[in-house]
Amino acid sequence: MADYILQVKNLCKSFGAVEASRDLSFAVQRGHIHALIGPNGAGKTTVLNLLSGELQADSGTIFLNAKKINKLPVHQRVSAGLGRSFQITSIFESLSVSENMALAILAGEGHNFRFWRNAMTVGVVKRELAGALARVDLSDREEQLAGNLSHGEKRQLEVGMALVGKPQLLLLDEPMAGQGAGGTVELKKLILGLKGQTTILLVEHDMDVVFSLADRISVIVYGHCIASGSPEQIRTNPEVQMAYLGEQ
Amino acid sequence: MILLVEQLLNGLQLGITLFLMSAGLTLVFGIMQVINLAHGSFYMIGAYVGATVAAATGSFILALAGALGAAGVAGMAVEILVLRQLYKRDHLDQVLATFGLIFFFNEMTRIIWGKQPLFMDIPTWLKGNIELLPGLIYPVYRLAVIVVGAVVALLLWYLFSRTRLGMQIRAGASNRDMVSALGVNIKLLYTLVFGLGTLLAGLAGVMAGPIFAVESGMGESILILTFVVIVIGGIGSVRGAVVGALLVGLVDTLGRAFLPTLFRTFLSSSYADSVGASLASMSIYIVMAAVLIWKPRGLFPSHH
Amino acid sequence: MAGGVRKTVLIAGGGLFFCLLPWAAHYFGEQYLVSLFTRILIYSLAAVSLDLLIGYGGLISLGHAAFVGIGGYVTAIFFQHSFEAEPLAGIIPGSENALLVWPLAVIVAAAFAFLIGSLSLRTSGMHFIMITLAFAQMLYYFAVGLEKYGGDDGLSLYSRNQLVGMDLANDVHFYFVCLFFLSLFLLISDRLVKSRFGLVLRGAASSSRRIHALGIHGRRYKLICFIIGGAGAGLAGALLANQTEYVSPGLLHWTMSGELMVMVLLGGLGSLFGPVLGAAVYLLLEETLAMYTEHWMVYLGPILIVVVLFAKRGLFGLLTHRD
Repeated sequence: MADYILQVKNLCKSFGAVEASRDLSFAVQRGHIHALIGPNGAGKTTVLNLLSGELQADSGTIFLNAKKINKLPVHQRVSAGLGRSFQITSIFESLSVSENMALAILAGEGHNFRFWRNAMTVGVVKRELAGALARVDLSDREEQLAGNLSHGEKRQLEVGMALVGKPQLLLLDEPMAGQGAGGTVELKKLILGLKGQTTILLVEHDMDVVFSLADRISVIVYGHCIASGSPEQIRTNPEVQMAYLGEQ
Repeated sequence: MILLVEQLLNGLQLGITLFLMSAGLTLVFGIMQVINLAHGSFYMIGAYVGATVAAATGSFILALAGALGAAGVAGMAVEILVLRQLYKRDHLDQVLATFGLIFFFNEMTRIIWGKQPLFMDIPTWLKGNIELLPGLIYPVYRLAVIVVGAVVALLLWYLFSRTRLGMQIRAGASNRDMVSALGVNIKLLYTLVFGLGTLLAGLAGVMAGPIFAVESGMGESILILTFVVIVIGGIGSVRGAVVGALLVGLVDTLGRAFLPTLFRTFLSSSYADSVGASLASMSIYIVMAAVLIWKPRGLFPSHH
Repeated sequence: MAGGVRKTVLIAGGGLFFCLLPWAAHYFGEQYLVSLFTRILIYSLAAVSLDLLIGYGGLISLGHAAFVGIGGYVTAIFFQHSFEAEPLAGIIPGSENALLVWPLAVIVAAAFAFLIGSLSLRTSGMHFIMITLAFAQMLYYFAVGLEKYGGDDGLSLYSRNQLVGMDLANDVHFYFVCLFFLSLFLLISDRLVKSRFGLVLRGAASSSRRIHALGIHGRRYKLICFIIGGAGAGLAGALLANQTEYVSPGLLHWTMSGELMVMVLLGGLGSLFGPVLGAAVYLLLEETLAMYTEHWMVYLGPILIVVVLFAKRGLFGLLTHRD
C-alpha cells in the first residue's frame, strides 16, 4: 500500500445553502507534489481552509500521518506538521524581511515567552536566518520592510516562512497568482527544489505549472473530487475534459 | 408600584435620549468606519444654541429649530473639514483628531457663553404635571420628551426601511463596497448621514436643556453612555441602538433608584447608600461586560 | 545608518539633559523647573507604557488612565490607613514605605489590567477602543463613589512616601527617583520589544491571521503586553500621587487617557523614546499657552488635529528620519 501523508475522507462543509465541500475524498502520497485543480468556485480554497483548520468541517475526517486532525485548532495542526502559505499574501507588513523570517523560525521553538534576549541574536535565528533567506532568494532584502517588497518578493517571503517550520505537508495556495512570467519561472524552480524535502499540496490556476510540476492531480468540481491520477491520466480522463479542460 | 412605574418612565426617557445620540453615531461607525469622539459636542451645541434662542425669543419651537439647525450644520461642516480626511486613516488617528475637536468645542463654548452653566426654562405649555394613573403624577415635559423620541424613532424606521436613501444607508452599514458599486454619490451620502446624526444629537441636547444644566463638557458624560449603548447593540445597527439605549436607560435609572434600598435590607444605611450608589453607576458597565462575554460583537452585529 | 546614529545621539542628549536639569535649575534660580520636569518624567512613564500597547501591540486603549488612577489610589489609600493607624478592612495595616506600597500599586494595576484586558481582548478594532474606555469610566465612577476615600473631592497625602536612603520630600531627590524609574522602564521596554516576545507581539499587531497560522496564540501575547503596560501606568500613578500628594477621580478620567494618547502620537508612535519627547512638549505647550490665555485648549485642539493629519511619525520620527 502507498504511504499516504494526508487522507481526506467524506469531507462536507456548507455555508448556508451553498455546499462548498460535498463528500470530498482524496489522498496525498508522501514526497509528492500533489495539485488540486478545478474551475473557479469549485471550492479549492475551502479545502485548504478545512485542512489548515481555519474552517471546521461539518462532517468527515482528515488524517495527517494516519492521525485524525480535523478537530484540532490551527496551531496544533501546525505542530502536527502542516505548513501553509496563503493565497492573499499575509506577511507582517510592518516588520522587516529578516524579522518576518525570524518570527517564523522562532515560532517552531515552542511556546516559552522570552522577554529579555534580543530575538535576532538567539542561537537558532543566527543559525537558520541566512539559509532561510537564501532559500527564497531574499538575502539582499533583509533590512527592507516587508510591506515595501514587490508582489513577487512578498510571495517568496510567504513561501519561505511556511518552509521554515519544516512542515511535512506544505499547503501552497495559488503561489503563481499575480506573478509576472519571470517570477513564475523562479517560483517553479523553488517548488521543484523543495521536492524530496517535503510533500506539497498545491492549489494553482496556471495549468502549465500544474502539469509540469505535479506528480498527481485531483480534480474538484462543485466541492467534490471527480478524479485523481497522474497528469497523463487526468489529461486523458473524459469526465475531467468534460467538466474542466473542455471549457478551455 | 407607583414608584416603579415612575422610574420605568424615567428610564424610558433616558433611553430615548441615548437612542437619539446613538442612532446617528452607530451609523457613522458602521458606514464610514470612523470612530468619532466629538459626537457629544453636537449634543452640547444643540443645548447651548437652544437655551440661547429660548432666552432671546421665549419660543421653545424656535429654540428647537435653532438647535437642530446649528447641530446639523456644524456636523456637516466638521465632516467636510476634518472627518473626510480621516476615512482612510486608522482608528488611532480618528480618536486623536476627534479628541482635538472636543477640546476645541468645549473651550469655544466657554469663550462664547462663559463658564457659568446656562439654565433653560420649560415652556409654559409644557409646564406642570399630569396624573397618568391614580397616584402617578408625572411632569408633562418629560412625557413630551418620550413622545418626541418615539416619533423620531418611527420616522427613522420609515426612513431606513421605506425610502431609497434609507436603503442606501443600510446597505452602506453592512457592506461599504456595495454602495459605491451601486453608483451612489458616497461623499454626499457620508455628509448627509453625518449631518443627520449630529442633528439628532442636537435634538437630544436641546431636549435635555431644561432637565440638566447646560455647561461646557456636558457632551462627554452622555457620549460614554452612548458608546456603551453602541457596544451593547452592535456597531452599525440601528435596531441594536434602540435595544441598547432602552436597556442602558432602564438599568441605569432603576439601579440608581432601587439598589441603595436593596442594600439597606442587609447593610447599615449609610454604608448601603454609598455602596448602592457606587454599584448603580457601575451597573451599565457590568451589563456591557456581560453582553461582551456572551456576544463579543454586540447583540445585533452587522456583517462586514 | 544615519537614522540609527541620530537616534543614539538624540537619546543620549536627552538623557544628559534630564541628568543635568536640577543643577541647571539651581544655577538659574528657577527651582520650579524641577517639579515641572518631575511631572514630565512621570507622564513620560505613563506615555511610554501606553506606547507599548498602541505602538507595539496594536492595542488602541482609551482607558489607560485607569491604571494610573489605580496606582495613585493604592498609594493614597495605604497612606491614609497608615496615617490614621486604622488597618485596611480591619486586618491589613497601612504603609508609607515606598518599597512596599509602590510594588503593590504596580501589582494591583497589573491585576486590573489582566481582568480588563482578558475581557476587552475578546474584541478588536473600534470595539476595543470603546470597551477600554467604558471600563475606565466604570472605575472612574467607582472612585467617585468611594466616600471613605474622599469621593469626588479626592484624597490628600500629608507627605510623600518613605524610601530608604532618600528624602522624597526633597524635590531633587524625588526628581532622580522618577528619572531612575523612567530609565528602568525604558530599558525593560526596549529589551522587551526586541525580544522574541516583542517580535511575536509586533507580528500579531500586523497580522493576527498570519501569527495564528504560525501556530502562535497571539491574544496571549497581547494580554501580557496589556498587563505590562498597565503595570507601568500603575507605577506612574504611585509616583504622581507622591508628587502632588493628592489623588482624585480625575486621574482615571478618560480625558487623561486621551492626553496620554496625544503624548504618544505627538512624540512618535512605536518609538518608546518618542513619547518622552511627546510628554515634554505637550506639558510645556500647555504651560506656555496657559501663560498667554486661559482658553489655551481652543488652540491645542486644532494643533492636535494638524499633527494627526500631517505629522504621522511624530516629533521623534521627524528628528531621526530623513526623507
